[in-house]
Amino acid sequence: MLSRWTQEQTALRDFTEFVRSQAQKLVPSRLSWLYTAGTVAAFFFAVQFVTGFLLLTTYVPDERMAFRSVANIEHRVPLGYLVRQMHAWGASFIVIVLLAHVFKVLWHGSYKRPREFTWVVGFLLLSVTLGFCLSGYLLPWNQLGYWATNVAVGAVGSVPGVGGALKKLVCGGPEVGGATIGRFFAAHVIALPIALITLVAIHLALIIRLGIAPRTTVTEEARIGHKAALELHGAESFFPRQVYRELFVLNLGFALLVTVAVFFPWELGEPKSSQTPVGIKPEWYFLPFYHFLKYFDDNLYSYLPFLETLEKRFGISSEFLGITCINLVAALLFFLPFLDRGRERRMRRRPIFATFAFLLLAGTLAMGVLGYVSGRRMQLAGETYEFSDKGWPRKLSAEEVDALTRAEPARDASATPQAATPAPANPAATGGPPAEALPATFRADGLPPGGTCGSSGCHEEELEKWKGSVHEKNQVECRGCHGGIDTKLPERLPDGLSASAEAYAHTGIKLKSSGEAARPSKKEVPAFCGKCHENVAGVFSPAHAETPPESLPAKNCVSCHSNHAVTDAGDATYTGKEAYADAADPRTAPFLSARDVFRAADADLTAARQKLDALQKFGYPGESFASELETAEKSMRGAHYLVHGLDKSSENLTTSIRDARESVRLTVQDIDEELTKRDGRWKLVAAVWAVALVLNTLVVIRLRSIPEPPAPKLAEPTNEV
Amino acid sequence: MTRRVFQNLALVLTPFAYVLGFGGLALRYFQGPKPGRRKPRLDAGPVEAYAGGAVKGFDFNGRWIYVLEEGGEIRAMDAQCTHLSCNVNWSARETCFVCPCHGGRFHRDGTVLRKPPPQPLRRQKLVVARGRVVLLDEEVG
Repeated sequence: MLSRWTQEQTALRDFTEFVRSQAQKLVPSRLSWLYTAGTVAAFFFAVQFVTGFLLLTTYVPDERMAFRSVANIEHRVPLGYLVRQMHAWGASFIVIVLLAHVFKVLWHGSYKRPREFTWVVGFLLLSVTLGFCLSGYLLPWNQLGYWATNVAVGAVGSVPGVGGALKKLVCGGPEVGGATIGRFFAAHVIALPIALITLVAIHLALIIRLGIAPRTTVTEEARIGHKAALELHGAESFFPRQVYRELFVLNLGFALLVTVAVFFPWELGEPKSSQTPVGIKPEWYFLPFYHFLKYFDDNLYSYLPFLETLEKRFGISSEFLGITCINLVAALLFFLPFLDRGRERRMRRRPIFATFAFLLLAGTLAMGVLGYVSGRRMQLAGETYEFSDKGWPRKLSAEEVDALTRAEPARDASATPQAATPAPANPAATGGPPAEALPATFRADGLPPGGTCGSSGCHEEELEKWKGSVHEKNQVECRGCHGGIDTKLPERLPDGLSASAEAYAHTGIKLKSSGEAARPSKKEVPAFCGKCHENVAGVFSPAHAETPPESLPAKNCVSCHSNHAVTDAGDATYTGKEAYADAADPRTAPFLSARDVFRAADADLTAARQKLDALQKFGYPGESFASELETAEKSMRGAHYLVHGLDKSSENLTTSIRDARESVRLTVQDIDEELTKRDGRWKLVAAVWAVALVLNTLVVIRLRSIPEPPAPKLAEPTNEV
Repeated sequence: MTRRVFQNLALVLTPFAYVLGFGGLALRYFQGPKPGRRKPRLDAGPVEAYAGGAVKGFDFNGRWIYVLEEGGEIRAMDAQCTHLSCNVNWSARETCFVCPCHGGRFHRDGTVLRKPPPQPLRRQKLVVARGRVVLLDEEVG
């Protein structure tokens, strides 16, 4: 009943019958493993569809968002890295498998009559695949993808006459830009998949209609029919042997894909910028074409002067000639079944084709290898070679190698973005460079730091103490705190100023009754320092100046931070000094607990940074984590001044530090999660291999159970008609 | 299990393995990235700013929060309508919150003035410290 209803509604029985008949179709026995390539390619296409669909849900095809969204997929979406890497590696796997498939077809002469159209469709399928690769390459909007696409569309632009218009059509403007992403994205997810599905359907329909090419000659197949031609040299049904062989390769291929996706990830690199990176090269499958085009430059005119005439007369550029050469070869391959009309399928009986194929293969491989080594320096057999842009090697002498090795670190250093960034005006703003890195003087008048205060012989002792202090790091000189004038005595003094150098230097400074400059009294110090440290002065507790009932003396800024050798703020202030703090003193007990919170927060930060370093060793771009830690640190350092309020502001201080510590804790949690994920990746690979191993063991058991195919009627393929 | 099924076990299991594998991958992937860090508190300005019946709105951890003074008490309310989750707007003309989707009305204190909303607006915790209103990332009750 149900069966009849299903048959009525879906014609399922007809479909299963069709599948069964296809499974029973004859194929040549003892087929090479290369015959599995077509099915494996279809499987990898399916993997691309699934991973591509997942990526589509998160990717944003916009020039401002594309890179960020891909980085988001790679680093923040659960298993996003795996999906993206499988998609990126999947492209290469498909190209490899399709090339193996093409090689098989060429080797066995399967493109010959009556399968010419199957070949043409297959060729178009390969072109669509390369279209997928090219359009997908731009989508992350990173440096490599952007510049590789520039090269590709540059080739389109070199077509005489219509090149500019064509390029504009492809790019959506004169250059690759935001509009190009939209076009490439639409092609990648709509136009090319539709083309691919259509072509695969036609390709499969043709294979079902015509069957796999037999080992006989073309004429013999035509004479006795496909089935008889297959049986002549041994045939067996497609199921089970060929099906299980395909399963075996497919499981192995998938496990391999996951392994390379996890352990050899495609780096996302830098987001697109206007600077073309040095040594940029396209994907390996475009490398031969890319390198071949390098030979079509102005140098070619010196060997073939008539080409220059072509350019001058007809506007045919050397680049266009190169592209035409590549397209001619592609056209030769496209029309191959119509050009190679010989009846033979066996390679050894096709010497002209074999020579042509060998030359083409060797040339493509050579171009690929030259493209790979070009612009690189390599060690070969103990010698160092430098390869030119065109791939020509030059052996370097020992002196040249030495010179290059010495120059390398300097060049690397100058190439880093940090080095290219101008030095901050105030070095202390970034933590301050070490004292020895400071220039001899930072003063506009050329005097040494401290000006005339230190160099006049009056305050040398204070200047010595000042050196290495946090004030020196921040270029706060004597006059910064004390006032006065520290430049040289002018030849002509302004009106009202004494001619005395000392009086000139002490202009505006509070003087003793004796006329000497007065130092600030202990009580005046908080206000004196508070001129700059306003936030500290705002919370400074008067409890500092109160002598506690037992023994502790009154304190001011100098008591903890020193006067000229001013120490940095933070935990360093407490160490090595007799800080104004006693757990037994009710005024300072909260301050001590705040200090402990500070120390704990510092320890948290240090631990977080160590974990971040460990994460970055995996190539993880930890900028966002680093920025979170930096913000937390700033927040902690910014709250530090609150300690000067002692008991009064300790609550605010603890709250600020608590928030910052919470932020650090959450960042560490995220870092830990990322580290755990990375540690666990090998488990994923191991699980995939375990499943593949189990499945393939079952496959091997099944393959061994299949009886040998019947012996062929003819031992060797024949040429007889 | 028949001999024939066992013989073809790999053929049966392989599609299952891939469907399970890719299904698991998709489920995990669709959990999406971790949400951004939530702010524990948000400064909603000085208490004086709410004198005279002023109603202010704040974007707090992706939600719109209204803050106002009602009955001598500063209150914070989630703008999400309790009916079908649209965000209500403050109507100065009607002096109440109006839901633009189904016309629900809420009083200044968050109670329902006109259906369909089934429940009052959700209250958000806040503290008043040193004369400033600070919203906390926590609901009342």
